[in-house]
Amino acid sequence: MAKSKTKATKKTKRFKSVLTGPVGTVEPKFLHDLDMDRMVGAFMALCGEVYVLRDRVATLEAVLEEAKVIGKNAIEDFVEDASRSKARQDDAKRFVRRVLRELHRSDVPVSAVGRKAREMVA
Amino acid sequence: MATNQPLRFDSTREFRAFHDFLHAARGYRLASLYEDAYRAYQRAYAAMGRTNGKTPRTIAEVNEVIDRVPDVQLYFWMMRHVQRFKYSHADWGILEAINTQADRLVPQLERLAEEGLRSGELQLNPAVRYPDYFALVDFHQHPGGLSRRPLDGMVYEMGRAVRFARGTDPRGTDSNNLYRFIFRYLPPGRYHRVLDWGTSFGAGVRTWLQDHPESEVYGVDLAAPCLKLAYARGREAGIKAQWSQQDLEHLDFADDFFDLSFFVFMLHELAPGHMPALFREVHRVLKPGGVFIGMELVYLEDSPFQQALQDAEGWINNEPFMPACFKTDFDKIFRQAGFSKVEIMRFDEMADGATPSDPGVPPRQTWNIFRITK
Repeated sequence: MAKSKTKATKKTKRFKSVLTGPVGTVEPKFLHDLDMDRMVGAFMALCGEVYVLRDRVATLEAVLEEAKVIGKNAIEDFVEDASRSKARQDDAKRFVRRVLRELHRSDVPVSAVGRKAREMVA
Repeated sequence: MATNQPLRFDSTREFRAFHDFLHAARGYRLASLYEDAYRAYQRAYAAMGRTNGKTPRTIAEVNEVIDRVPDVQLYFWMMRHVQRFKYSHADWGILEAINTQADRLVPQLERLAEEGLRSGELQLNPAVRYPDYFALVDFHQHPGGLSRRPLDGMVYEMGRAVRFARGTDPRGTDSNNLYRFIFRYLPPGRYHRVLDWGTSFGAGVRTWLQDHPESEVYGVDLAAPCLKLAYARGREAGIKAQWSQQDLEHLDFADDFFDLSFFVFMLHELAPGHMPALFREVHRVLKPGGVFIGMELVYLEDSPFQQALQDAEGWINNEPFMPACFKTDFDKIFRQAGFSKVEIMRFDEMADGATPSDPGVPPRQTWNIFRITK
């Protein structure tokens, strides 16, 4: 009995990334061998993207100031009313949720293939 | 009183930008990453020292190699999770975004559906029994599937729109050329009564009627939310058709009723055990000489790498019957259902999006036309 259980376990663990059947009740993991050098490379590329955006926004502010569309320090001196403040804080919450939820998302798939359907695949 | 305002999800700029980003990410996976994954697979196989001038001959042999290839793992991750982001991401996932407008959209859709029911153009059957292969599968990671929430049809429509073209055409008209490509394979003839077999939100019916307004067209599906939307979109387009909620295995049409029935990407959604009965039923409702035509993904012959990745898409993207569909002997199964002529041929009209820039890399996907005659 113990022997056959070991065999079955070995069979189901044959692959670490490749699936040989539908996703069940646990979200599969695929990224076992993606190395950190590449991860940091993508992270640095994203930092570059963010910096380019910062530069663009700062330049836009400067252009608007030069054209006298907004006053000097208009951004810094801007005092938002309660409604705007609330909207901005809500936006910050949504931003944090969108990003951080990924770090602690459930292992239960958000979409499913029911057990009986999983048995109908062949 | 149904409104004349189009049934429209008002997308935000952020929503559109997010889906442009996902569309680009998907495109990257399907092009650059796919080609890199293939080359990495070849290198990995060579490094295993087993080549002897040969390459893996079976999907199982390919899987032994790609399981540890980082490019393939990333390909799989993106296949699973970019699609999850598309439907289920916080705020901008299609499901959540559309459902934030449910207070406006659901009553509008229901009013339109009531109008369709009164006119007889829309027939719903609340007692319809969903087969397990439909009820228990969240196809292509659409949470809850197509029939549980009132706006599931709109969610599916948006899912198709963001897949087939950049941007988010809420009417889902982007894929209509696909139907026209299929119709080019029809034998010349007069197709008076036409059945869209698994019509969903009715894009095929609308496309057919735009080109053949004299036809009498029927769209059948299991999902009431899709059929309600099909009626609404047909009304907006100024077309009249008959929409009905039925199990394709038990249609309520008379024998020898249709001249033509067509489908798109339907075969891989069907559990293999149900195919014989489904095809016998479509054979029953077709007139002698009637045509059953459609397209479906197929394996590229002699390319176990492509076949392995196509199987992977089935498992990863909640298309659990896709791997079995690739292995089905359709010639045999259609003939057993009673059809007299079975023609299965390559369908290259969609190849542009799946042809690698490197000629040494096999096409990522391949399709066949199925032209079946009673």
